[in-house]
Amino acid sequence: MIQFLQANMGTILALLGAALAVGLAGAGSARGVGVAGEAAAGVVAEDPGKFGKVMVLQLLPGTQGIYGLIIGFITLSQTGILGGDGGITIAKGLVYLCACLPIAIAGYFSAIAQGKASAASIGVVAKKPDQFGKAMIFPIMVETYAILALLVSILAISGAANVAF
Amino acid sequence: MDKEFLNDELLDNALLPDELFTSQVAQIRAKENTLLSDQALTQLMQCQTYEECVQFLLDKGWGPAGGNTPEELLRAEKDKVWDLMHQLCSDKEMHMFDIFRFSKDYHNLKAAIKETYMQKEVPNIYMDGGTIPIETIRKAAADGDFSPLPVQMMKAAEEAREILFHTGDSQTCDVIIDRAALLAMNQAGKATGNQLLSDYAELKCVAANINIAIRACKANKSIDFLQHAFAECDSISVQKLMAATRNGLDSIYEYLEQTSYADAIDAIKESPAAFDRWCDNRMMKLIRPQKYNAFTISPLAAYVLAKENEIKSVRIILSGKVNQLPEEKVKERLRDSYV
Repeated sequence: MIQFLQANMGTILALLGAALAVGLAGAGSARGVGVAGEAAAGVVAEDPGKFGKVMVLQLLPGTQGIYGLIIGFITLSQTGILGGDGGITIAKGLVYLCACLPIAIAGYFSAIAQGKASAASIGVVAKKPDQFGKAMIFPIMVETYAILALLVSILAISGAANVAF
Repeated sequence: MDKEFLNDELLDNALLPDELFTSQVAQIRAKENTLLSDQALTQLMQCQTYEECVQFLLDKGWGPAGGNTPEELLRAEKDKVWDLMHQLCSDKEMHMFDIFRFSKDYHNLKAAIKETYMQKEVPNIYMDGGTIPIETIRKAAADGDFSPLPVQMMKAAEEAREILFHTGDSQTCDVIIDRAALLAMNQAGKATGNQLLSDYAELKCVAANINIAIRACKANKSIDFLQHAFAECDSISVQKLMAATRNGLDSIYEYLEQTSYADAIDAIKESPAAFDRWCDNRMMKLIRPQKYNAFTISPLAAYVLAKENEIKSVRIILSGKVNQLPEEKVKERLRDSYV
């Protein structure tokens, strides 16, 4: 067992990073899209004609899950877990784990916050459909922080591939 | 806190703070589009006849198409509001709205005690929509056994019944029950843990106390009567208001000047109707921030109150048309709208 861990700890850490990136960002998106979906369903129950507009707002918190998937996929590719031998050092595995954390953490919390902002914006669309453009800006602002986290995660993973450990 | 007047069921069913009511609030946002704005109320007022008013309201989605009398029309609108709330909320969540219905229970209690005292049935004195079935209250009053009622109601009912049956003083009987209703509402409001409902109950209590003070002062009521009538609340001191009531109207104004209800003074000086209007407008001011709240039960509660306020305004306009009152007279009684 100890020998197995010594031989594969790097890969296990990298895999944990990928799992966190996909899992946490995905869970956040699920919650965010869920909250916005509840609001959207409420509006459609009263006015089915607003389906198209509220659906766009509902989808906004779903992007964090996609960002998490991208980081997870890159991590799995670069560490050789996907179609490779998978043998990396513990230090390198730890670096990959750390590289995945920004999108895992920021993705989770920003998706939930964006879901709430989307739900509030859906309320705006329910009352003033002509203000759809402005209403969409508010949840999009939250997206900024998920994109920043995605950027840092990508940079860190790219950097990790070039660093010799 | 003294829990004597708390509704136990309400306490047990207090909502968790993380209940967001996201879908329900969104549905209410869409529903708010159907509320009559100040502009729509002005249009309604400009209708030449009562029939035109009814047609205008029907075009706005009011009432059943066959409902021709003002009462049918207004009743249908009230029923729609509560049907909507039942659709949006579970039975447990509906208990949060009990404070809106307490006054009906206590009104029915007064009616039942007086009916028993008079020993004859009076038609149409009971109000539907309370939290306790009318038959339960009637039976309790007829048997003289109020134990089936909630504790707070039972105590008030026993005291009121005793006074009415021993002295025939129906005014004191009313005062005791009205005070119990206010205390029950105020304490139940706090028990919900919801700021809006708590503030609503507090405002109702304050408005009733000010009303009592003005009327009691004009009628030169005794200190004993005042002690039975005033209901304790947080934002005004009942003791100070009571002392001011004994000293005259100017003392009441002086006391109110020191509170956050100073703007009520002009309305009180104008007329009782102006004070009623002030109370309703103050309530609208209290609930208006809920237009921008996307979560919690508060926007739903605000919608119920906004609709009640709207119904009140429409009632004023319709009765103005039926009784051919001048437009200015009707206008000065109209409430501010929520939207």
